[in-house]
Amino acid sequence: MITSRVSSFLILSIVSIFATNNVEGSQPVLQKTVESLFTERSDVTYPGSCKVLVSSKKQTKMCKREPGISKILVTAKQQAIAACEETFQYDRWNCSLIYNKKSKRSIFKKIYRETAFIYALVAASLTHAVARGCSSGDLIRCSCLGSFQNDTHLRGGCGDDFKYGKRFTNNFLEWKQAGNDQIAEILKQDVNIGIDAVGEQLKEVCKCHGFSGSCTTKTCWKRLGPFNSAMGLLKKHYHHAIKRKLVNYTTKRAITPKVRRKMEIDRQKLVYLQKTPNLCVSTKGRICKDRHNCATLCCGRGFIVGKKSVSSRCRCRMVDCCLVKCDTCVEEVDFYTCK
Amino acid sequence: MTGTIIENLSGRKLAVLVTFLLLCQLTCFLIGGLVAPMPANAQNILGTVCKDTSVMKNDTTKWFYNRGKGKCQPVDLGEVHHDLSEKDIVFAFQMPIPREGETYDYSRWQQNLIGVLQVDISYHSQMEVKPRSTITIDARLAYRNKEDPEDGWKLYTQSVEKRVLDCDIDIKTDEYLYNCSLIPLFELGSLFHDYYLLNIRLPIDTPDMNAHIGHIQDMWVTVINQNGGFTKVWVSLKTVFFPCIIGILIWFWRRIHMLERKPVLLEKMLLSLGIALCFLNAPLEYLTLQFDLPFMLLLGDIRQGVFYATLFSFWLVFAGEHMLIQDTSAQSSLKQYWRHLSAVAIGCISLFIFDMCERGVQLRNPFYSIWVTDLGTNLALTFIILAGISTGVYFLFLCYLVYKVFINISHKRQSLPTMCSVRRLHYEGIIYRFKFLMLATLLCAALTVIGFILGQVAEGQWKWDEHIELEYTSAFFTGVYGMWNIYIFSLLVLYAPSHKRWPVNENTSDMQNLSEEIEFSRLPGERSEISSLTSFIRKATVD
Repeated sequence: MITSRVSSFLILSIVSIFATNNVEGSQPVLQKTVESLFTERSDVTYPGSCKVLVSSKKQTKMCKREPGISKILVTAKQQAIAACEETFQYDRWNCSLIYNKKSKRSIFKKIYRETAFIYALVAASLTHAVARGCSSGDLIRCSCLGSFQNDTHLRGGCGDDFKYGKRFTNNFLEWKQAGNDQIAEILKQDVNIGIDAVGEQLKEVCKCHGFSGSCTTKTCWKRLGPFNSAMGLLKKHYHHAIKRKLVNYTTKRAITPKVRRKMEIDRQKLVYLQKTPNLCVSTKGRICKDRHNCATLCCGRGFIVGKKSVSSRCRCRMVDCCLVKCDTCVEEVDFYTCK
Repeated sequence: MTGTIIENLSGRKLAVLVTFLLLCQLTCFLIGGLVAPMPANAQNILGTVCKDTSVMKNDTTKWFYNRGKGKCQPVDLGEVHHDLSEKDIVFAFQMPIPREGETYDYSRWQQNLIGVLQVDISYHSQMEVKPRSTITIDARLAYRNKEDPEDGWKLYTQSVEKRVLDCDIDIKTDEYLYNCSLIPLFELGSLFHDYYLLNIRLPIDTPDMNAHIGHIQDMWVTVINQNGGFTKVWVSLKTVFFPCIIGILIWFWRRIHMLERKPVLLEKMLLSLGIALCFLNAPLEYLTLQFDLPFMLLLGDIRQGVFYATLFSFWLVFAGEHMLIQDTSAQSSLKQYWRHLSAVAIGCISLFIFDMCERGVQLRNPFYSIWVTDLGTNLALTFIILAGISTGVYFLFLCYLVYKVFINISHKRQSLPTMCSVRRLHYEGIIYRFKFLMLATLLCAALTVIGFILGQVAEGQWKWDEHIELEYTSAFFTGVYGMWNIYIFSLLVLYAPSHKRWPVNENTSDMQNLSEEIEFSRLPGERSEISSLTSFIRKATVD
């Protein structure tokens, strides 16, 4: 009797959760946040405490609790965009938001290889920025994870800011609430790969400080790696991403265990659903790095070799005291443009 | 004729005592593992870049920090600044950094603060960093207490230091970071104040200064401090052990004084060992809660050094006293062991000199490091190698002595069958117990070494199941500490002179025993109350 009541209550509550989800909007917060962080290129300030984006209820609460976070979000966003544009400068997809300059073909419309990459990138950037914010003291709510003593001065292990960054990113992107249909599962995996890319850059460093400075006592901590190393790893992930077939396209039903098992196999890879359209149409006039790069970038159409003069600092030396003086050298360099 | 307690203790009592001590040992280990957090804690602090626009940079009343009233406007080094010269850049590190929405302050329970500098240098083909180039740092440390205003920073210490920057890079791509080694920055022996602030500048007073250190992107300072919780557990252990050892020491000394003879060397050694342990056990850490005592790190080293020196000397004398090297008529004294003990002395003195050169000077200048200059490095290495060599020599000596003792004992074993049965049983018991204690020493030493190696190999935390987490490093420290305390406690108890009389001596009548009794009482002469084991061996030389 009681169990049936409990179960009926559970069913009711689950139904109501689904209902509210539907009311809030068709797009889960995860998608909305990543999309708006990456798409919005102007410095618009939105109402609400997060400022950079139209925030959900939970996000607003998080931003209110931590006043420094809106600055971190800006940093994360700029860092992600800058890193993406720089890394993909000489690739067919040059980190543009739309394919082939057609405004209708947004990369966020479906889950392309690029979309999957951006989810990972934004998550990585956010994790990295939050971890940095914790270390510099700009964020004041970073917690000491992995400590089992709650007293102010008694705790151990307060140094691992990456763990907090990871938790914050998952919370902020509402990872858990993203749902468990196939699309959500894929995006969640992509986000995880992004966070792990930052985690893999952590380096353990140790310092001995025991008896007479010997190693009888040794303290180790994890050092956060630079973001561009994580970015290098993410680019590798981008190239090795795997394509999945959508099992049940229309429904938002949870995926079956069979599909889940299939997904378990490639937990370590970026996953996408849609093949990227042919980008060769839009590479006309693009600048490539060298002949080798031009061969792929220009899709076999050939390229024009031009000469241009580049001025740079050279022959730097110290003058008198304390002043670095450099000459400006003008160099003639080849530059290649796709036909 | 009396002996030491261990010779007169029945096997059952000995077993009870050993079990009890083992239980104490286990408790020490578990207290460290379950109650105490890890011994030390590291916190990474990312430097905030501030702009110092003043012309004179040596004003020590002007401080730069990134939180609280009067904070500086942070500068992003990634952007190009035309109005900013290298001289105007200050890296500010305000510690501790806030956590969980609270601005934490350091507690005096945290004892000490060690700062390590890590520099993120990005690769530029125009400005390559040479391996082992020198970085000059103008470091200033300020402190503030809770009751002070938020901008009321006061100078703690200031120094211009040179450090070696050891960087290499795998992939030479622009913007990629060099792999730079850690730079030890400062060591504070006392954490007396609530907040600390470190300002780092990279001066360029001479043309060559800081010219080859590349493009600095970020500066990180990692501060390591002892955990307050660990200190509390540690000090409580000391508070428990201190009176126990003092008590047993008084008991031991009184027992010796009740005898008619003067104390023998072994007993004096035991006493000094106990005193050294008391010196180590004294919970002086309580004083740091009230007073600023920067010499605590140094004192801690000295206390440990004295203890280990006494323990090592004791082992030598212990082995030597059960040998037949000395003249039976002479009272053995420490002088006879000068050759063996000089190894201990040289090792200790060289370590002490090294420690004084490093931590002693750090009392005056916390930023000082002996390892920076080539001369200092050579000097430090000389002392450390000297200490290492003398430790090696010491252990060779010790092994040799122990080997000789065992050879002697096995020789005497052969003559045992000629003795009467009661006496023989008794001697066999003594040998057994001597070996037993020898084994205990070896076991303690082995456990320490194994524990240390395990700690180096394994992760810091061990998990037994979901709920029980064992903090291994702390458990190792409290375990080893407890072990040596218990070891010395048991030595003091078991090697104290016994007041029991041997029943054997009174009610014997057979001829053989009588003759032996005569011989026995004649030999030790006035020192009839000497430890029976020693007298047994001495007697055997005459046999």
